[in-house]
Amino acid sequence: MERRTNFGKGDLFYLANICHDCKACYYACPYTEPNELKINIPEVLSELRLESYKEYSTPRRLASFFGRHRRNFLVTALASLLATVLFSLLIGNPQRLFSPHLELGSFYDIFPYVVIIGVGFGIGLYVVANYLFNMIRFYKDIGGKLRQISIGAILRAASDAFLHSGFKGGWHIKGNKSGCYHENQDPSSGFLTLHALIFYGFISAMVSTTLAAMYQDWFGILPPYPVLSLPALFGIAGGICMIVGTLAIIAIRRKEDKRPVFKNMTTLDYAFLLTLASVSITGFLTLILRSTSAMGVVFTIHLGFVLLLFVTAPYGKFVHFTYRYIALIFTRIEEAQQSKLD
Amino acid sequence: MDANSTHYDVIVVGGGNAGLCAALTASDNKKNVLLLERTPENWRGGNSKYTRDIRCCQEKDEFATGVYEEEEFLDDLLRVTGGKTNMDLAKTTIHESHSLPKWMEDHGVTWQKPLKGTLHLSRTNRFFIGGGKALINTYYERARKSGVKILYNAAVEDIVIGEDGSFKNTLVSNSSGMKTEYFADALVIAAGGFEANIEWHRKYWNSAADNFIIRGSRFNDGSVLKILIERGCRIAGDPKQFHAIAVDARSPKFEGGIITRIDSLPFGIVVNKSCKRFYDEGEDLWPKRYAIWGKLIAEQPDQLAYSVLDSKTIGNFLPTMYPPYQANSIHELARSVGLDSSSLERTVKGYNEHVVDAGKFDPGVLDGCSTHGLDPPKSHWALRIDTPPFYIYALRPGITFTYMGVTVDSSTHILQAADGRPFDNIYAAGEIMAGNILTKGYLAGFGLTIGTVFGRKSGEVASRRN
Repeated sequence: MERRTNFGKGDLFYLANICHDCKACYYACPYTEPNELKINIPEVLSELRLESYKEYSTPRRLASFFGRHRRNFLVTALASLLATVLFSLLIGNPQRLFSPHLELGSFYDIFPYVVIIGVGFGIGLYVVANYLFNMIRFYKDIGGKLRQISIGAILRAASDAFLHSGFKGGWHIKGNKSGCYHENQDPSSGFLTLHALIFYGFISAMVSTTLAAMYQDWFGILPPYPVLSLPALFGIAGGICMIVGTLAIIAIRRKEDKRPVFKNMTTLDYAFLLTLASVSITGFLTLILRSTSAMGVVFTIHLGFVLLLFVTAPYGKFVHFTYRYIALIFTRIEEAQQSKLD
Repeated sequence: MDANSTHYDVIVVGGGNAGLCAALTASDNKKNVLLLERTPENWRGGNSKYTRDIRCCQEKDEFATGVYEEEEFLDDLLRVTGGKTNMDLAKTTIHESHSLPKWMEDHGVTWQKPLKGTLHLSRTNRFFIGGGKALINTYYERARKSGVKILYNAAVEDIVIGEDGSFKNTLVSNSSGMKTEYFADALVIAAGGFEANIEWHRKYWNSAADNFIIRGSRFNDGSVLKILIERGCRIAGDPKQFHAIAVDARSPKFEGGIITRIDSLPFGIVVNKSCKRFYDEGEDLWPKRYAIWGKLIAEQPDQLAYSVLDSKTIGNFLPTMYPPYQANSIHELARSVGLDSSSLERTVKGYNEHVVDAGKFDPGVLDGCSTHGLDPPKSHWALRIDTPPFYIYALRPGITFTYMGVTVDSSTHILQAADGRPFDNIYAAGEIMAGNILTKGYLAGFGLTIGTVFGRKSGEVASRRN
């Protein structure tokens, strides 16, 4: 913020997304209520951030729809579950959903491997393409030049993301490790811990899925994988981390100081948290019940939630990481240019 | 010490920077401290919550762009006060400012790396992260953790002093009007000036006081200062002196803080409501002059002034809280703020005709772009005002804090009016005694220096009372 005196739309969108919502500025600002000026920076930045999510979504209408009201999320969730259940009833004998599947590879009686890979890749590619397209648009609009992106900036920004520098309160200020302010004027490292759990939990789950595909396609080893196998271990670890992380964040947020919070963003936040929690919990249930006759139904519901997660990925809170990552890259590039001038 | 105790080792009146420093120091010395803050908790911190930086002697490091030594610091102070100051107290403040950064860090304060656009203060001043509100939040949190008893909505109604000149007890009312007597071995007064008390200002300024804008706390009405004067404390400072700057006339009446300051003045001309210039806008670099404009504007008719610029210089100062009025002609510009168009046109034309192209315009130095044969002159940064769009700000005097307070000795004891002897155990710190050192003029960040040095010192001396 201190590098500018004029703030155009691009600058504001940049600031809104480099902001990690620690809320320190709310408690440090002497112009928040009761001051008559009633300035509320975290709320304003959240509102701007939400605006930017809508601005850089394709098509815009889906993002507007999804974020507008709690019931829109419920409708979407219901639709995903229904679609998956109907699909499972249509592509094979419905009876198969209520019997146990114990032999190697019979897991794919529920949904054929080619269907899982096909739908998975299809939606996955759509999400990735959507993200990349809008990340580039966003980067240019905040003032970035594509030729300025260096490997160094990409790596340093990635390190900021993986090490959660922004969760340490004034992360770019050396020696300041205060954390986030969610309950009162005492910062804590609660959000850093919980976000890291979800972040690494998700990555772990992705690793699990990838490893399972590798076992299947490269080594010809069919599921179900033993609990002590790599795919299962990564999946279990990831699932536990995500369940603990999402539920703990929900618990904290129910008690948080509501003053610096933008309500419409909260709707999106909860939608994302609940989706992740549902994916993780149903995933766990699938693992626990995989040798029983309930596996078919539970697995179908699990896939219903996975579908929800990826279908809403470009339109809900999940997008936050794309613009924040671009903002981190832009910050690193600006910093490098600034130190060349000083 | 139970929760309802009324006996303490030290009572501190005032929960701004100075009071907090006193309370923290006494508490560090293992004393039982009571801090009385008259505002509700969500208004705490007095004027200190609007500060940003503190002036101190320092070496060059990652938070300071150069060296600032005692000699230069004293020289700066003598220049703005015209040589009139209590040398003993001034030198004490300056000398002890060396130790402020470390003390502040030890009590939870984090520094910020030098920024651009901060009145070029990065060598002489140190900026704390989050500004004044974060500063006092940090201190309040530290005070709470170290056992200081903090009472909000606690207004001092009376201070009882014995025949022997020592403090006995203070009568304090709470938000429901209930009064309680509190006793202590030592009393530190850090209750601020009387800047928010328009009635009191009227005694010296008459109706002009109604046009003052009070930059800080509306609670700083000088009620404790009044009690101290009534109880025989010796007064220090001129009642008409204060730290005041040019603020946007559209500012809130109270609590506008730093964001209402206008820094455009050196980059154009300044006229009063009769469209007459009255002072050299380019006399010196803005950081050295910004603090005289409050009083200058207070002395103008209706306490109004107007800063006029054109598009050539509009980008040279920090963005203002509200946008300036804008027009494509001086004629329209005048009308937008209710000035007489032909008068303003005449003044601008007259000014433009006397501008001499004496050098290159450079806002960072004394560039010698001046007027010739104009009274008052504009000594630097004088460019013709001729390129639309034109801009104008209406300005009012923004009062930060008043300089009349109580006289103290070098160990912060308040002196008695009758014979100049110190009271036994009554001490002062912060705005309420800053007038001993700041007789007129101001140095950016110096209020906090005085508050922190004398806050710590009074806390230290008060700790030794028993």
